[in-house]
Amino acid sequence: MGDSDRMKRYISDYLDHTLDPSTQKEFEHALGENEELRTLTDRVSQIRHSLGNLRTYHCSGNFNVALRERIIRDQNAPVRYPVKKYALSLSFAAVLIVIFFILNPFTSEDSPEMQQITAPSGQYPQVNNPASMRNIGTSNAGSGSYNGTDIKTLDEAKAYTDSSRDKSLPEMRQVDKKEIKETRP
Amino acid sequence: MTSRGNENIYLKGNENKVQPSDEELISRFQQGDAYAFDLLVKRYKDPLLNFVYRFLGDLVEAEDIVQETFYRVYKNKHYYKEVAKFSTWIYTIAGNLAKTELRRRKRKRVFSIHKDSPTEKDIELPDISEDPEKEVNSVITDKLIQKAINNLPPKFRQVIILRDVQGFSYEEISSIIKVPLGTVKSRVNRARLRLQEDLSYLYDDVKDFVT
Repeated sequence: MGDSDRMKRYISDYLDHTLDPSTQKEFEHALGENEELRTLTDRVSQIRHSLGNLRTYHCSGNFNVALRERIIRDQNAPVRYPVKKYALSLSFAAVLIVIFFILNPFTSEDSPEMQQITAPSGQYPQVNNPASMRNIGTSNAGSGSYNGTDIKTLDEAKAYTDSSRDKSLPEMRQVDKKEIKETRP
Repeated sequence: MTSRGNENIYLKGNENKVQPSDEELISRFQQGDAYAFDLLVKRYKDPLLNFVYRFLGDLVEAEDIVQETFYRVYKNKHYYKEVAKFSTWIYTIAGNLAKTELRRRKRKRVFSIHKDSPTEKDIELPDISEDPEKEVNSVITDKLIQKAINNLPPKFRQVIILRDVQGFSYEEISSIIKVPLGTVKSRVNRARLRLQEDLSYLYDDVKDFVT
């Protein structure tokens, strides 16, 4: 039974002459002994022949004209932009922006970020406008490359300068407001 | 034996005249030669019609799909690269469109309970000539075979049409449907076995009639 099933798989290869010689010999031997396999192979061969001789149909007489008309129609058609696609993309972008602002609100002056003094020593510009006193830059710039992006209050800057004179202190130091008040003259 | 365009052109045309290959024609068309496109249409419209018709079982829809296929070839001519044969490319386009149509039809059938069989409705029977009885038998056999093809699952249907109706090699079929060679061979064999099961009465009758 198992061998018969295996032989059934070779029917097409046998009819297409794509079996290797040893398998072909084995198949032909099975054909001689197995009546069912012989009938099956014969029918498959007939099917193959019938499919190859099915009647052929032809395209209608106006096929070429219709195709040409369609091509011309398409060439002359105004360019249509995929409005729906753009609308969807724009609304998606808007939603992303809103989500970004919700997750990243502007920090206030009293926020913990503002209380961190992490800039290196050097000259700090004096900023009197409280609205512009936001921590907008990184504080990891080296002492020689300070570019004024790290804006701090004058007191904070002074406190930091004092602390940096003390060699026992680390380069990066956190100062809270209380400490700043104590150091004020 | 095969109904593919390229070979028929070579055999039936003026034998002294060497016809340009499909790849030459598409190359000329890519460079702006519209006449080359017309030649490709002439060469492939009927073979593609038969391929799609055998796949869908509806001649009118098949012609629409063939037209769509050529339209896409026209529009996307620059996407063709000569690494593959032109016939493989155009049959892939037509096959994909036919499969899409088949899926669309299935969805439609969910909503429509009563649907006339397209095979019954749309086939234009050719003129009967010479031996009318033989011709009628041939038409009936054709319809029965088409019905059996329609009953095959699409993946079997596609390979059996490409192999036995269109005469493509297994390697070409593998390129067209983008499936490994072994799978193609297995599908062809299984499709043939299924068809012989469905059509066994036909061949038994013929056998009885002959003997």
